[in-house]
Amino acid sequence: MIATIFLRKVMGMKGSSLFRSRLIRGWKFQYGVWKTVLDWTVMLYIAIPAVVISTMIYRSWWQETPSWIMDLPLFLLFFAFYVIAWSGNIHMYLEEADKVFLVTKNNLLLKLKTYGYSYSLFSQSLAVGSAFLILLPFLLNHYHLEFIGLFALLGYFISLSACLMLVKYYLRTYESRMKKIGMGFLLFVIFSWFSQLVYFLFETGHLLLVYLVSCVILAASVYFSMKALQKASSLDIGIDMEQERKTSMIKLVFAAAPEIEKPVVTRRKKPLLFRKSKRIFKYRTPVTGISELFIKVFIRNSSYISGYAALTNVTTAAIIVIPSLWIRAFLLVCFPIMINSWISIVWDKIFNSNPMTKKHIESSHYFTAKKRLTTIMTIIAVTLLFIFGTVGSVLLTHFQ
Amino acid sequence: MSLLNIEIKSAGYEKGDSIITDIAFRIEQGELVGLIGPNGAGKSTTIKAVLGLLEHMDGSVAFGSGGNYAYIPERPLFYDELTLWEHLDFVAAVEELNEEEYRKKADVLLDTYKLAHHAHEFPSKYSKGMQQKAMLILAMITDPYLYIIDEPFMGLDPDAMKLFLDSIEKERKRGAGILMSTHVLDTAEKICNRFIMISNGRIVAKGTLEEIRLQCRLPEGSLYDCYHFLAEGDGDER
Repeated sequence: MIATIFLRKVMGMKGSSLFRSRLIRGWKFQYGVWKTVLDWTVMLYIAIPAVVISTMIYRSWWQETPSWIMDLPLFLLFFAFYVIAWSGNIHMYLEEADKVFLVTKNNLLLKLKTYGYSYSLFSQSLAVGSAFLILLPFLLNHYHLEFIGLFALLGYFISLSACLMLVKYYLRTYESRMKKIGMGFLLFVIFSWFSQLVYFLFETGHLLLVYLVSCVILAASVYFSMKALQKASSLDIGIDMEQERKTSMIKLVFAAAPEIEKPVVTRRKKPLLFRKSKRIFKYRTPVTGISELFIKVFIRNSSYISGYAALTNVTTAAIIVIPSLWIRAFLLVCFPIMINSWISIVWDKIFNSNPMTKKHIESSHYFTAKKRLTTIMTIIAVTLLFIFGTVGSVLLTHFQ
Repeated sequence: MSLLNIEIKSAGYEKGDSIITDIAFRIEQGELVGLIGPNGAGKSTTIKAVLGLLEHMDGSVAFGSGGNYAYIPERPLFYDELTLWEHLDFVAAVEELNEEEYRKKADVLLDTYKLAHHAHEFPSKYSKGMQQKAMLILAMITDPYLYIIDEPFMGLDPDAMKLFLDSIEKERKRGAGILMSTHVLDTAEKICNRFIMISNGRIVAKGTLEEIRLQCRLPEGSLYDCYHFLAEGDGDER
């Protein structure tokens, strides 16, 4: 029944309206993700101070060039743009059900993919443009670049982004993870050499050549991308990419708000740590058994471990950067409470998600293990905060 | 004393909206009881009520085995981050099993189910059939008195199916009681001692095949004929 409604709805649609509806749905999904993150992390604690501080810092960059940029060569910024150019991906806005309902509608699918590709290119160009805008005070006031040169660089990085989007699309077709990583690394090096050549052209004033190279790369990238999208096999890749993108968004939520739905964890068949199921605790008791399960799940799930690191890092950075002693003291007092409650939420999530463990959540062993582990992990986080905070503050004082 | 004694007046996910009504049955030692019914009849809800996973339940569920039961869900459920051996290790730790005996038993089970070479891999990456086998091993490692099994035959190849049937027969002979929800009626007819047929959230027939035939007035009928007879009068799926 649902399938019939879906089919009827989709068949009556044009490629553009199908793309539009999926794009809007995607925005709503992203909005939901951000809303959830900001709900939980308490806007006042991180988001608003971050926006205010960033705006103030950015404004100060226009008024006076900070001392730390003085010794940085322009090439380093060029490299930063190069790294940003690698961040794009081709999104085709495909869904799993398209395999069933749209697989014979080549025209509709191709239109959907074309719109998706154009939008991906546009948003990646916007990302590169934003990076330029952020670093514009330095590019203009410190490196004294002219607009014609700036546009040449901007054009090159947008074209390079289009090319790298295609490269990443093909990298995805490798089944072997090692092959994918190896090839990715090799291509990263090769394209960086090529970019160094472009940098050389730019520095020696051959701007026309830079413009020409950019035009050729852009045209070739768009042409070959469209050819790749026309292939029927792009349907599977597109669906995989879309699912991975959604998962990564969910991972983002989960890192900050673990009470939300659990993401897919890993593609590995065997664990990286504690291979051969090696035990952490030599003597096995119900308490060590429960603790071991928590530790292994926690360290093997990237969302948990990155959430733990992110909360510690953000607070460390805030303690180093924020000048007010009162706010620093407030953060130091709040942090152990916050990290402890976050670990407790992760704990509950882990043990409530499976009937195998749910059966034991009322035992005294469970509470003993929970108390022990949440306390130890809070102490580790606070210790890390102190170490990094002290090192960071010393370094900052040294360089000021 | 029965291994399981259920007397549910009504139960459901929301207050005032009961999915199952007047469900009462027992499971005795060494008995394999089939929970049969069409899609949406209330089989899974009954199992959830037995496991205490339903928010609203009016009635009682009593385990006669000191709560030593094992549940095998329809969709195998594992920790994505743990290997099969680590799952077994966890169960052994919380159930306080003897180290040596547990290891010996785990090795035998892993060998029997041909998962010994995959013990240090994540079961969430196994094929469906391997996952079912892993769930069964995890259930059997504690020697439970009662098994609650939801749709066990889905995704099993013929060899795995035979292995599964042999295993539950062995467990039944050991004295364990088994409540098994299934749609595979021809197999159920051969292996179950008794049946509980549910339709529209109520028990419509229960007993041995003979007793069910009598209730359906189909003296020569197969379990499928009885099922069809009882399900025919029903409305849409719920």
